[in-house]
Amino acid sequence: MSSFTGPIAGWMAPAFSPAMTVDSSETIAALVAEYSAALYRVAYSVMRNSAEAEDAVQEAFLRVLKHREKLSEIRDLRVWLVRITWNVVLDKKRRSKTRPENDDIADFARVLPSTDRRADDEIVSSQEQARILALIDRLPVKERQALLLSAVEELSTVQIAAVLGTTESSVRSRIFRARRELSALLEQEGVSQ
Amino acid sequence: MKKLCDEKIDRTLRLLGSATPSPGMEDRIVARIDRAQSMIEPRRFFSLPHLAFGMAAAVMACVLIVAGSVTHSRHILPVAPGLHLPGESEPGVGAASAAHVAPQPVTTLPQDRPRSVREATNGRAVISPHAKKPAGIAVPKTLPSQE
Repeated sequence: MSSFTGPIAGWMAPAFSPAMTVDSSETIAALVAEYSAALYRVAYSVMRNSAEAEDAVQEAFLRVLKHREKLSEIRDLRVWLVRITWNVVLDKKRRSKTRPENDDIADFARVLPSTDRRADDEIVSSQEQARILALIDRLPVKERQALLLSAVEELSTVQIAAVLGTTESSVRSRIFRARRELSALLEQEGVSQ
Repeated sequence: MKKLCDEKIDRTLRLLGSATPSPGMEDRIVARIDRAQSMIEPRRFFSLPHLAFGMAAAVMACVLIVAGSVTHSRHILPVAPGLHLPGESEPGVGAASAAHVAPQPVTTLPQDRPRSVREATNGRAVISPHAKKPAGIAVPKTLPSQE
């Protein structure tokens, strides 16, 4: 049976080995357990809505299920999953272009860890966060994407570069430019006052 | 001021990147994947049991078509008079050079001659008075003009 190649192998693979289906389900379940939180943060950094971020993560794992035969070939599962989630999120964002992007600040505040929220609220109020997020959305696309992915703790600069399909140095310069422009915008808007 | 701006940016990004999903998200994702998988699997026709069943059915159909065609062609073979038809046990396919034996022997006449002798007289056919003719047919001995 292993002599089948090409599309025939794709058609037959799941049915030839029922154990493989079970294994792939278990593999995906393990991936969900390990990476779903990080993927949620990636999705949330763009969607800024809990339900939509979770929906994006679910859709990302459905795409993983669709391409589960590639799982054994993936070298860096984290980067692969983040890239899938990133594409899902960008698709969703493109579809809901007319909707305001950061209209769910209450939800944004609700899903944050309570201890962090208390400490951060002393410095940055929810309104200020909303204004900063609105300014982030005004940044150029490349800078904005690099900045948002850099906010996800689980991702290194190398992994961000792999997700965005660029080099590490390019990511670093994009993040630097994004922060510089954001600071300038903040000063113009008077957020710091 | 710049330092304060950077601090606010850092705090906002940290808050954004430390968002936690609502409880039970993993279970919901796994449940949705299971539902999707159960919907996907029955649609796959090209699985081994289906493929084997389909191939067996195709082979059976081919055998039936060939057998039916042979049987049909044997039954409608035209019957030629005087030709020997092969027996039922023969396959129905033979070489052209095969010996064809007549079904019945051709009998010869007892007199070993034709039933009537035609003799041409003045360009007219004359039936011999000795010729054997079926009973009931009157043949005048002489024509009225010859008397």
